[in-house]
Amino acid sequence: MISVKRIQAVVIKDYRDLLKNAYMLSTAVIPLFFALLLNQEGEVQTAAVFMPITLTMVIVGSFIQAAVIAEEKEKNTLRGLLLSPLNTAEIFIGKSVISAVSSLIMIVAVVLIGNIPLPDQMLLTAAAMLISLIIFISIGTILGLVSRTVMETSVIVIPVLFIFGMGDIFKTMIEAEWLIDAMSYLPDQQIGQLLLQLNNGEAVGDHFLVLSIWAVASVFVTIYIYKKRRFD
Amino acid sequence: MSNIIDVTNVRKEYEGKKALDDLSFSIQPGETFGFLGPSGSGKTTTLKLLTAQEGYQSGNIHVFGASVEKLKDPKQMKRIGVLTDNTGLYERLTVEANLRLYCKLYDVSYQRIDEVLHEVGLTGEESKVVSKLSKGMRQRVTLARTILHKPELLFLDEPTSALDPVSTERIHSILRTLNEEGTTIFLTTHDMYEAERICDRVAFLNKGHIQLQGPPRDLRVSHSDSSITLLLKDGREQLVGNDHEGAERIGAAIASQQLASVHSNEPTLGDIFARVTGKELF
Repeated sequence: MISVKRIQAVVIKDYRDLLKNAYMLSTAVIPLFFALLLNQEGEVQTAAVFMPITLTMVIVGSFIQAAVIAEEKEKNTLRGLLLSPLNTAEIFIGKSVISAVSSLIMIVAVVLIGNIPLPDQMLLTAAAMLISLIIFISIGTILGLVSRTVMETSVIVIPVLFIFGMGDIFKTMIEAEWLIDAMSYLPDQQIGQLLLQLNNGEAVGDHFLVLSIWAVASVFVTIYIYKKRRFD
Repeated sequence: MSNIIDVTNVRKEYEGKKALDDLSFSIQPGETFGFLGPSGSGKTTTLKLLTAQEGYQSGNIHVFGASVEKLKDPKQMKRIGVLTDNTGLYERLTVEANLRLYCKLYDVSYQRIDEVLHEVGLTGEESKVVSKLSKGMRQRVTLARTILHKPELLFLDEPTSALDPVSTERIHSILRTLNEEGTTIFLTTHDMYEAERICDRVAFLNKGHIQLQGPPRDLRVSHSDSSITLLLKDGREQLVGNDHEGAERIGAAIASQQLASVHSNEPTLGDIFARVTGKELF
């Protein structure tokens, strides 16, 4: 059974810890610079206009989550939590709330600063964001679990940043059609397409399906790796 | 009285390499049980098995009369406290913030923080940031966190490792008090002095196998050669037997007013370990 009280305790601790962590706080504001740099003007023409949102999810959702988990492992505080009455679900939820809330705050800031035109269908947009956050936070948790230190996390997150956050830039450099097709199934591409098609009033069911598969798969992989690596 | 821990014929391997072999022992409620062995002998592995952090290949482990797997249940987890040699604290947070987290996790009132800080001799230190504390103080905060919920069974992995003598003595004093109050303690250490001071019973672990176990005093008596050393006032030492002839020589030394001191030659636990395993405890 999940205890809200125990989850709340972990969240409050993470919040207090984050406020005193200059490294994490400075990392969390990086997407704002991308938003300023990629400031949108005029009509929405390609899904690339939503890239600052996916970059925010990678940097805040994945990287901060990875760093938080890796630090718990590096400083051996995760063991303390694992040997407490917290169960697996409570640890996952408790350790993800700060990354999720920080990501949402930064996404709103990025949208405002970058003049990113969000679709009018707010419920569908929110649902897409939520599913995407589950994916990116799970990826962050996986990276945190396989890293031994925060420093190691900052290295292994780089390819993830390129693959899951900057696909739109790489697509312009790639000629192989099959590779572009394959890349289109990546979560950042799916979110971009989904938001673009929502803006254009087109159907988005396929993108929701692909994102949901990503979400379920990433949660399962996270749980599998957690069971294997939690006490390492 | 039924045992609080029962370990029967446990074998543990890591990738085919034997870590624990045919391990069997039991601990009664209220006992302080010391697990002695050099680094790499399997002490920490045993503690991980007893706290359900890791599985094992064969044998049985029962804690509180049920399979050790039941410890994963939050209700059972509340009955134990675990202090591993590397259980960390949140260094950017204060002592109080660290303890508040665990108060919530264990459903304990915040009032307990003052009590437990008093117990470990850290009254008035609650607002200090953990990163500013000395190693000995950090270990006491960790111990405070471990006993916050008043566990029935305490697992301690080298609790005084690399601490100064004053901090070590403080920890020993706290452990003795906890034990007097009824807490059962399972302690791993390679410090035979620590084992002799606070353990009711000890087990010698070598290469994953228990070589010998029993109360420290019984082990020392049973491994004693019964000889007695007389230190004479002129600085000479005489070795005498614990028999009629030895008594006469002691009597003669007293009569001649040459006797400075008399010592029975009981071996230390370290000596016994070396004798039994051919290795030194370090």
